[in-house]
Amino acid sequence: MAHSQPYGFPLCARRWHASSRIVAGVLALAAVGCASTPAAFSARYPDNVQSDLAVLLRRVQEAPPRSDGAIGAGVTTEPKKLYGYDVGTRRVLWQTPANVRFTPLLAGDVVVTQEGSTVVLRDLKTGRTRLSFDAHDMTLNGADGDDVNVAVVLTAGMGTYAKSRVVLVKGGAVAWERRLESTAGSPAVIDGMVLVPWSNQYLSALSMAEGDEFARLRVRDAVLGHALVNAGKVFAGSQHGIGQLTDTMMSGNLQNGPYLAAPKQPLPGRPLFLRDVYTQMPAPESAQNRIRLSWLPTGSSPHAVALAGGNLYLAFYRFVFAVDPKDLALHWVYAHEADLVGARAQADGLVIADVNGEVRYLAASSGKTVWFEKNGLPSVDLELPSAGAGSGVTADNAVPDAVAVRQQLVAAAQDADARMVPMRLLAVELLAKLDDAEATSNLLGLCEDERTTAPVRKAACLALKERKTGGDYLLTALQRHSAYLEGTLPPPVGALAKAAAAQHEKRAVPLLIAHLTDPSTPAETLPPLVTALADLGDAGAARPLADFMRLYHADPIDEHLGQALSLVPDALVKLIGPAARETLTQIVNDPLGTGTVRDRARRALAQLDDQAKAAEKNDEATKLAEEQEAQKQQAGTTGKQLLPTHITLDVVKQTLTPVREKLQACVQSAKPDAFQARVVLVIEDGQVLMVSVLPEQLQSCIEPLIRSQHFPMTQVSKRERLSYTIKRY
Amino acid sequence: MTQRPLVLLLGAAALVATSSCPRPALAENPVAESTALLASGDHDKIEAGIQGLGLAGTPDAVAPLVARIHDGLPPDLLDTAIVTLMALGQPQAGPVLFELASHRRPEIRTRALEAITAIAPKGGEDALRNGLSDGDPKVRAAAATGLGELKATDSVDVLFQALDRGNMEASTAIGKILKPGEVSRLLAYLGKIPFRSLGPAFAQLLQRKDVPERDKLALLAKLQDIGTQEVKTYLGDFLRTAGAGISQTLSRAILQAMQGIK
Repeated sequence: MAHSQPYGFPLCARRWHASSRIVAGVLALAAVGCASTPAAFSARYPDNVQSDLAVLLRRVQEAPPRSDGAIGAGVTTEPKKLYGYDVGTRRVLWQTPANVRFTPLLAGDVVVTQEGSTVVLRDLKTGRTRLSFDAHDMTLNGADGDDVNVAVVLTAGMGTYAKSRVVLVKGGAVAWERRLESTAGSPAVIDGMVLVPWSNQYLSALSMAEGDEFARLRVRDAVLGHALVNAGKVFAGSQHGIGQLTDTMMSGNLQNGPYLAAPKQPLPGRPLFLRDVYTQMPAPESAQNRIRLSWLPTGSSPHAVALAGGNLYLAFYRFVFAVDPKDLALHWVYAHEADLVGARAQADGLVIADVNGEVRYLAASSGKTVWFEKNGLPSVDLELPSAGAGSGVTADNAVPDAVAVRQQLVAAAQDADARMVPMRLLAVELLAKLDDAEATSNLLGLCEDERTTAPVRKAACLALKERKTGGDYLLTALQRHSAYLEGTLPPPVGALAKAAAAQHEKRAVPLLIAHLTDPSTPAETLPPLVTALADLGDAGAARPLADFMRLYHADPIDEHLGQALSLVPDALVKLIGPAARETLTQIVNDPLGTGTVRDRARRALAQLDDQAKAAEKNDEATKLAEEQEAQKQQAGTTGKQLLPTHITLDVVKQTLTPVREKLQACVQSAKPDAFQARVVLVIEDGQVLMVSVLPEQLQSCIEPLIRSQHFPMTQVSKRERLSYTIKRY
Repeated sequence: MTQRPLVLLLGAAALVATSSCPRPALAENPVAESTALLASGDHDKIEAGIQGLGLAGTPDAVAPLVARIHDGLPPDLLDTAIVTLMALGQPQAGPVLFELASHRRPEIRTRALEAITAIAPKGGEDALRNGLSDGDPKVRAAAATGLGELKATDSVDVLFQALDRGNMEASTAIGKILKPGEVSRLLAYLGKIPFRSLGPAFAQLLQRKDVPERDKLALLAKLQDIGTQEVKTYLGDFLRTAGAGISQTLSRAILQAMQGIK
């Protein structure tokens, strides 16, 4: 692979770089000599040359702002026509029959389409064809332009067999064309430069005048498929994220600088942050044009790319979610009457278009409609511009309050359109993130609404147990029971039980017990109900649980009841500990009982036994510790009582232990040899009054050792005489 | 013979009929011996114990039976135990029967409500009224029947509610307990719910001794006004089944009403 070369070498040498991919290029280098710069996209071209990139950056920074147009291009329903729509003047400018293969590309003041094998560039204002050329065996893959120049990228094949063409059109003619043996992505045109991402990790800067490559960036920490220009800034990235081109990129790490990663969490319909340029472009009718993400990069901080309005827009058929690009926190939801076939972020809002030809502009901060026109054409796709919709209008910048956002989410979650399930799941997820207690009530409503699609219900029920607020709603719901005459159905007891346990809502205990004994409580909700009663830790639940287990342990009507019964033994141990022993023993000893329940009861009993043994050990250890402590205290306070009544030989031995070896050495070193030494001691009140040693020659050795030790006091003060023998060994 | 002793008798008969085991021999203290069998852990011995308690027929047989029910029984033994309680007819069985009216097996709930109907313990009407809201139609039917059997006049409103919800047995019960002055309330249902739902109530009213003859004739006139073949057939069937249970005046009026319906 290519590597940057140090400065100071001759140009040809500096631009020569070792690469396994271009070993053959060495021969080519020899052939062309050092006299010329490698051609654009040449494998011999060096990447990340700081001086080259500095030139690129300087030119980007000095580039005058590009004036992006306000005209979009759409494709009608059959009979298929291409048309231009001006979001500034809010009207259709032109329409012309066209069999467009792929989603049209807006590039400066033209729209680029592929019709059959022909690439067509039409003037966006008039629809007149400015230029067409044969794509040969390639397909359109990207285009960008300014007032005069349009760069078009065509590609074919994949991987090793990939090849691309970059065509620069100036006015109504092809200025130059460059080919490469890789896939090139969506280019950007800025101030006399064409920036072309290619082969996943390269971004080549070509001079617009000559088509020569003058700088090449190779990134190691990101995928490059798109180059974008907005507000005088250049961004590069892919469906995984975008980074702004700044001097931090010179190291080849795009993510070290301002960077925005695509949401990690899968979004409904799995729309891509940016189109994957390594797959073919979608057809105008593709669902990708009805489920899309839109955003507009604006400012940036040293490590982040900011989006216009702080919004990442998700358009999903009829809905638009404006969310925070990082944590997907919801800003607002907009529901439309018909499917959206176009959505494009602009500086202050989002311009959208529907299948019926309605075009609408939504304020970025509130999602409220700024304007709308029903004068478009029934379309399968409308690619809208990134500017112009907000000119001359004042957007409502009031941020919707929490209640409004919640109501929007609830409405979205309840939408009856079968295609909306993924979006509804997202709505439930976002609803669950709200701190509002009312959101708990809304989730509860979704959880128990039998008309709601099963996955949405399930998601709402699951979300309930994560709720930290709205406990009163849980209790109210738990108060309801099934009653045929009243026409009421049981609440979602399982979900409510889990939620109550998660919220440590002990007020739910009697209500849960009432459901435990209610035959209309669905059997599948009994296991979570039992678990919740155990988790809530109210010992008052032990009796009903024990009664429940006794009543049904010999008649587990179905698998759910059986499962619930098997959870009761552990629940009882958890709730009342050893007091559960009698009930558990009864279950274990009933041969009519179900094996599973009896096994669980047996295990619970064993657990109690273990706990009892552990407690017993603890008791012994505690008792011992207490005794020792008591002795210590006694020694401290009534030490006299622990003193020996008199000095015994044992007391002498114990006292002389520290000098025992030295005493032995005295005997062993006796001259003449001695087999023992006989010592007579006279002691009073711990004081050694006399030491007499036989044989006498050991006196001088032994006496100081004995006197060096402190003999204990005795309970009764008196002079004591002892005879002590030190035997040689 | 009233319905209640009949149910008790049926319970006792069922008790004997369900026995597949040799009946325990008569003992000096049958309750104590049967109670001992209940603790055996053996299905057949437990069954024999339950039957032994039923045959003992004394009030002190209830407590061990209740205790055994609380300790848990397989469904067949539980059913036998309830039938035995029914046969014993002791009101102190009420609490356990109320509990079993909420058993997860609908057949046990049904049996419990039948036992409550037979024993008529204190609080039994409440249990039966609750049964009208049960999710199982058989349980609801047993509850309505029981309220009719117990002449639970306080339950008329809830029985009408059950009738609104298609509980046919509620119709019979209403016919049994509706006060003569409230017959118009039942007549108001004519044309609003299927006639077949009201027929059992009318049949009861026409046979009741406490309903004045004039009210019965007024009822008959209303039926004649409906004048459908369904009503004509109904009256014919009623006349055949009621036989001598109704007055000659009423019989003649019914015949005339039938003739009046083309």
